[in-house]
Amino acid sequence: MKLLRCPINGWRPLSEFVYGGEVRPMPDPTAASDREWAEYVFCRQGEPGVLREWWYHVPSGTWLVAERDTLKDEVRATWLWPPPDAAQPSPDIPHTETAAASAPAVEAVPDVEVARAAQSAPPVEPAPSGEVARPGEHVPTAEATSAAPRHAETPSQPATQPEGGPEARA
Amino acid sequence: MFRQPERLRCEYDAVIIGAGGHGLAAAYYLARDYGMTRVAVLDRGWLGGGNTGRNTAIVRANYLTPEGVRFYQESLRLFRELSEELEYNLFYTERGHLTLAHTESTLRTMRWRAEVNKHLGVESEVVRPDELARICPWLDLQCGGHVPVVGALYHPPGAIVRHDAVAWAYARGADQLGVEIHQRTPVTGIRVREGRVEGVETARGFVRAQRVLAAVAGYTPRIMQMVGLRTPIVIQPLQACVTEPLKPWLDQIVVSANLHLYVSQSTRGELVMGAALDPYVLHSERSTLDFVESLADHLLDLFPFLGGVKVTRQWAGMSDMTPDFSPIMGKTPIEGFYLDTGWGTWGFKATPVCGTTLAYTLAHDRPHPLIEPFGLARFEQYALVGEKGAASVGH
Repeated sequence: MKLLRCPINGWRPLSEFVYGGEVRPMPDPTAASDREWAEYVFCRQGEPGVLREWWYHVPSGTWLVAERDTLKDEVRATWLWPPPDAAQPSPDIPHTETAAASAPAVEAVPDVEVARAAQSAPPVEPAPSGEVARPGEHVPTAEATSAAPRHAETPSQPATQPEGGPEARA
Repeated sequence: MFRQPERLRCEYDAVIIGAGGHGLAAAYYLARDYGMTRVAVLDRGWLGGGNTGRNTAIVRANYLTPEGVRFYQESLRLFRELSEELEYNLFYTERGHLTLAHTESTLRTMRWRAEVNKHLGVESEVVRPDELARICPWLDLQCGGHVPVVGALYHPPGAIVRHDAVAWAYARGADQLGVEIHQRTPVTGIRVREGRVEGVETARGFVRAQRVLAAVAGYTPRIMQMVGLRTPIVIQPLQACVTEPLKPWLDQIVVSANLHLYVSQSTRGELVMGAALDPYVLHSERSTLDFVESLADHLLDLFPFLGGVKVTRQWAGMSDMTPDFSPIMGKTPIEGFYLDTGWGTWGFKATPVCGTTLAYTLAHDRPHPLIEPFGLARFEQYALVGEKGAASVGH
């Protein structure tokens, strides 16, 4: 089974997540031409590469950003918004292959290896703080189930925001 | 079948990237209808090895928009006479196509489709469960009590065609008219100068051409990167599988978007089945156990007696998905560079009509009237052709 790491609930089966598509910079709607707006609405980075994408953990109502290789299907890291090198408070980060490659190094754990590890020993969730609910107890708040960018306002987020990457939690 | 020329010439009148059904058909009609025989079809792998050989071989015309219906109706007309035209038995068999509705809202969309179809001369009708039981007596209309069938869209002209044979027959036809087919010749770049295409770089050297057509399905974004154009296309895998062969029992093609399932029986007796697109972007033709598990689960809702039947093979293709579930065809901002893409999960049925309309487009440097609505420019004009309601595959 493929697993994805939710920054709040830890490693969960991929079937608990919904794909939200690539993180894309939104141009200023009042200043953008019709053409620029159409490009924002419709165009995507279609070629294989490392992409930052929105994923949604359905049982807990958590939106997160994953950095994933779309050729190998390997997730390199996951974060709550904003990812560490996102300069803007809005989903306004470059998402080209070059930009992704220059992202700060994080401990990359291919999903397959993790899946194997999970089989051999039950995953223990080292909760970084007492505020974080265990998966079974986590009750999504109204904010947590709302639109993606608003997730940054959810109360549980600062406590679980890892510094320097998702693996820094331990 | 066809020659395999050793020498790649340094110049052609047209280069077609992708030796799948669409590319080969375009080459065939370019040579037959417009006398353009200095044409090379290049493929990084082997002929018909992409989505032409990976689809579930279903053809139909019961679409939702008038643009779509007209286009696929012409494709079916061409398909019917194709075996004769190419002197090759394509095993074209009309089976009848049933799209099941499990909810009243699905039934409403089907009524809409049926009326658009009939208005344009395509045979389609909404049938209620009693009639459905007569057409396909094997169906468990209660679906084991989960999601009872409340009706269906019945499209009698829906057919099965032997998909590999379509590629082979077009290849042979094009070859006999002088077209060169070069397999294992990957395109590594496209040379563009002052907004005009000059030719393609290949692993076997540069080939000059005034016209270049890209018909490469799941590889489209990589080709577009070579010319620096952005498109709305994303790639998601679509999986399929077959069971061991059974005696003939299922005449119809049965589709249920609610159950994420489509199934038909091949002439060899195998049940050929597909489900939904994989739920996220991925450039891979890998298969998964999740897919077979969920498909089998839904198959047993409709045909509970298949519990003991074994799945023997599974595979996947890379679908080039567009936001409106319609293709992207015709001219691009680069002069002489043409596109045939965005065929997602619905490309095989359009093979012949893609061939004729693209040949027209390349020969006249203007889109054929049937494909005008499908241009790349429709996105910046916000003139989408929404066909999601007519997609068989769950999305």
